[in-house]
Amino acid sequence: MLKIQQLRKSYGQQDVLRGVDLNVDAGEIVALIGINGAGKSTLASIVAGLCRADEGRATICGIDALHRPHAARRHFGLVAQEIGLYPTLTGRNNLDFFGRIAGMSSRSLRQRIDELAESLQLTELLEKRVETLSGGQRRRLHTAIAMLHRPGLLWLDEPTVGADIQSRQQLLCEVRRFATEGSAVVYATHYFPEVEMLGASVAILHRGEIVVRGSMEAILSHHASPSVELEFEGNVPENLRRFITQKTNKETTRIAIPICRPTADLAQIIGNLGEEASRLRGVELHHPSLESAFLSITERQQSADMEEPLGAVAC
Amino acid sequence: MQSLVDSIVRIHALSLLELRRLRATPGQCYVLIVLPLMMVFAITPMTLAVLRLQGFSNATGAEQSIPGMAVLFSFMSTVLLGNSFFKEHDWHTWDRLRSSPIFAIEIVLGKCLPVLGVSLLQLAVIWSVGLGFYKLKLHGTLLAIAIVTICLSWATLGLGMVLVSLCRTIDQLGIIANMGSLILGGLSGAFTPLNLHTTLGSLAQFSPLYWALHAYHIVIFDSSDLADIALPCSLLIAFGFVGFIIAASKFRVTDVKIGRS
Repeated sequence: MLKIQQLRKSYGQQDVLRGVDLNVDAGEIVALIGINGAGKSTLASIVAGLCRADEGRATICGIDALHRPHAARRHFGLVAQEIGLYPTLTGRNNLDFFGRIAGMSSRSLRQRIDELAESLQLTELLEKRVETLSGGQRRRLHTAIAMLHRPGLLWLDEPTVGADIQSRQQLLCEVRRFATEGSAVVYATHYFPEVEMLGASVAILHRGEIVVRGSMEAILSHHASPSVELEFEGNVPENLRRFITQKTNKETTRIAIPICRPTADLAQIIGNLGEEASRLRGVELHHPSLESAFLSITERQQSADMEEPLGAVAC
Repeated sequence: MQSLVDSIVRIHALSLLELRRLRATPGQCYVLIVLPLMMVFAITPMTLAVLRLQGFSNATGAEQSIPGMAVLFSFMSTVLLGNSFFKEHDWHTWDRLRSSPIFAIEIVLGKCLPVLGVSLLQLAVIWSVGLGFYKLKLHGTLLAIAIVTICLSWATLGLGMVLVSLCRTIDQLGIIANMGSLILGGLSGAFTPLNLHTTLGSLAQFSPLYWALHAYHIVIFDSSDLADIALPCSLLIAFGFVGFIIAASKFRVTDVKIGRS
């Protein structure tokens, strides 16, 4: 459904996208995660035809989105970060307008509006002016518009920012349903629990490149391990200082140690502390998570990026 | 053929949306229609005196005030056009529209048509008051008035698109449109007959408002022959085309506009 190959984009001297490759199949949900400024919104804008790429290819349902954007947009739905609605009109007016310019007939549009309104709990709100709706209700209406014409590719750019728990649950549920109906979904987010709730595969965008792409399980097994965090009265004992990362203050009282077998390894660590164990004030076990995998991957990438220029100089 | 039908459907959908927006917040339309009528009532005694002094013994004053206020406030409808574009940026619907399967030319047409409708309605109301309330007598025909009115609305749209293309904020557009209307209107003889402004008369010929007023005056005072309004009407059409050509070269869908004061 979506194929992106070697997509590049620069603003002046700044390379925002440095050769992005990403494929998303029909029925698949891909969580696009990355820190602020990683290039997520720029990537969405290029695929949506809102800005031009410098190089590369992007196809939506087999249509070249960079050279035939108008044709590609028929198969594309964008839920942008900013809510885009006509506030002085009703929810139905908004849905009706965007449905019509997407080429839907009156009858199918009416049916689809009712269907989406029911699943996103908007039915009671359709005849109200948008300016009278709450933030969460607007957020759901904003998402419904992108789903209206059943696009082959739905791209959601941080769609739950500012949404309440109920709105968030409804949106996630609808996104899952949308994917099961056969559409490809790209879901850009900073909220890692949402990725798990969606059962999405993961693409990590870091400094304009997809640095990791795979299923959640594969990423956790390769890039995250359980760890135990110990807190001491006073500084961390000498024999554990080798686990202190560069970024951690040497005078720290807390330390995180990666482990493989939680119970056995924890017992061994405490056993090895000897008399220092009396200064132990707290023990916390951390299970592998997408967050820890993400941090580990991005930290490793940042270290590599810092070394890269030195290598170039040495050559 | 199918793509033309699709295109018409999208233009119609956008025009309908714009009309719904105008109906939901009609204040600006009311101002565009009510304000010129109030001005007509205010200045007609003065224009009556001026026309009588010039030897038009049967004048009602509306011969000057009706076409004068018509051209002056017609140009102010460019603010309406500006709002329809700039508010999209304020509401974040511009990018949503751009990521939808609609062409830029369809967006422009979908937004211009309702404003053209409002402009025609505005002029129709002003002329109806002139002909009905003030018993304004025409040498020419109503058809001639209608032709001039359509040409004036076209020229106004063209100039409106120039402002939409060149201005960055709705405030800039509003100031230029309102000041421009007053200055060009004054220069063109919207308030007082142009023959009172001997030094400004030649400058006025660069203004579409002058040619619209000139055409209206031909129909009111001089001639019943449509051929006599051909030149001013052609010039009004040309002003509109030049406006749209400038807009086509300067208008960028990627430009960031500020729709909030």
